[in-house]
Amino acid sequence: MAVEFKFPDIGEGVMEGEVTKWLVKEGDYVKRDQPLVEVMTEKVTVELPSPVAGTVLKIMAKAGETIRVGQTVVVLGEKGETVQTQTIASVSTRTTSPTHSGSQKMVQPAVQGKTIATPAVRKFARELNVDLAVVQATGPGGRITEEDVRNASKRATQPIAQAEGLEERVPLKGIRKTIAERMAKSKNIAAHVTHVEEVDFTELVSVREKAKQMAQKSNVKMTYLPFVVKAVVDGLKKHPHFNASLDDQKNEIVVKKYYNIGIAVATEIGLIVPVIKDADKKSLMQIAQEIEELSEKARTNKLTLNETRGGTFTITNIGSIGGVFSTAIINHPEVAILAIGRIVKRPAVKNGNIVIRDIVNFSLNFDHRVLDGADAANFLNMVKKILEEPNFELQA
Amino acid sequence: MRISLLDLGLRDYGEVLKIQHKFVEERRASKILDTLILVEHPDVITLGRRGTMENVVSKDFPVYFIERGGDATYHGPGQLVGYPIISLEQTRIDVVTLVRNIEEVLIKTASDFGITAGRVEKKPGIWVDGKKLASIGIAVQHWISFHGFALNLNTDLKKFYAIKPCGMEPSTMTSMQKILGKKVSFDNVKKNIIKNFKDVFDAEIAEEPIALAF
Repeated sequence: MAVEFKFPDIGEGVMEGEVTKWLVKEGDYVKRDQPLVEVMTEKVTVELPSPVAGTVLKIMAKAGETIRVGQTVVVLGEKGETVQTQTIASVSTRTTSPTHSGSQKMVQPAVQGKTIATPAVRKFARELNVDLAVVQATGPGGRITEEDVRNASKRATQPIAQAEGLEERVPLKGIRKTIAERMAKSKNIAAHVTHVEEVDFTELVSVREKAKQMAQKSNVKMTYLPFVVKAVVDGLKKHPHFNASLDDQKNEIVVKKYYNIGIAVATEIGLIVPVIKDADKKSLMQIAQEIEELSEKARTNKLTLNETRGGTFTITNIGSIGGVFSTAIINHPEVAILAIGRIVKRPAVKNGNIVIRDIVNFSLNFDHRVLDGADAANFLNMVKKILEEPNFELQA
Repeated sequence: MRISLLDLGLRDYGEVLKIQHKFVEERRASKILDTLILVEHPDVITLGRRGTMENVVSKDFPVYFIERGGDATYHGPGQLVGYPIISLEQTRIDVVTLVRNIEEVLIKTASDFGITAGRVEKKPGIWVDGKKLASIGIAVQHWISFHGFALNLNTDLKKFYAIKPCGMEPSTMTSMQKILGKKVSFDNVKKNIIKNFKDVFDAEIAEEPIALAF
């Protein structure tokens, strides 16, 4: 059955538009959502997508012609069909978004969802979380009024605990929402395994002390983290599959030849991971400086998109707050994450004597789809060795 | 609404056009958030759907025929250009509201610098005493908006003589510098555009964090 496609109501107050370009011609087969025609109004060009799949039977308005809202611009139907039409409402952003239910062929989208309301009322409805499609309209011409929205909102039952003030509902949004989505996604997709190793930081403590004093001269704060970044990069070079991602679609492991190390930073609004690009090409001092800058930017919400993208491996320094060890969630699509624990003075046995050493637990979480436990042990052994027998170039 | 910000600094028009097309596709596939691109272009002339070469007077600058609404315009140093890539379907913003909102952002920003600007019916953009301070031209594909606005900060207004801006006389164009009698700081205007964009669109800026939890 042929259907008429009418110029939809694309914006408050828009009565007409100009056909600027046809994107299909008569006889073409179009898929649902395929752009049919470009229309211009008030310096906005809008491509109108087809509400149905079918053949373009007849184009009713030429390029350059002015069309009014509701005017038929094209007739769609089955190939060879004569033009005898049935009206179909187009999809438009003001009313309902394209529905994707039903079969692909010549099915009418749900047009009963079309609602008439001013933007202010729509905004109000959004704030109250009221679906306009289910609101009883009492305004002139079937218009939904603010009162209608308020009434519909009241009808929705309030959870008892919330009403009594025993619970509070905090919207999951912003960074919190991103964290929620990413964490769940990573846990869903990757096969997480945690491998824990003790690292003796005693030697590193004195090396870092030296480096700290040198760094101070250039006003840079030297923590332990730059040393760990350096050791990890060396480890990644020897064990490249830790510096990789898994392309699920192509079933390929993507091994990266660049070393962009993400550093987890706790901020007031949640955890953010700025990335130190090309860490292999940077000196200890440069890395220290960059960590300081990126952390500060993260805390003051000044990071650019670019500064949080493109990581190949992530380090999280949860130990600066506390904990024996932690099983961090892999920063998907990366395949491993290293969590550094707290530095603790502990009795240890060295050459048959009990001595006090500075010990840190490193926990490496890896994706068992790409790596095995032996790989993890080898990688971490190497990182451990580099840090336990520190031989870092301290100069800038 | 959450948006990402992308400040491209000074970038070639053709390069950013490609980025816009890529972002429209990625936004459509929900791979990225709604995004506001801010950029300054080297000298360039663009022709919207209504534009013809008749409105290009000088042949000194590269010319691009593009899919946005409107006629000829000039972009160049000293002009802040913004491209909001927004899913109108997901944000439930209609095309007219989009234009009105962008105008509102520009009017508020002008006001932050002591300039009283307003709208002129049937002539999108923002106006100060009959002169045009900022132009608007939008395109929507798959209900994703792109292209956007161009606000003259310290633009060399003589360069508008290379075209008939939107078919009008080049002398119609003005800039913040011309109105205030002094140059304005690009960074400060940018900051205010972002602040006002957040207010008007009720948006929060997402840093697209790659986050971890324990």
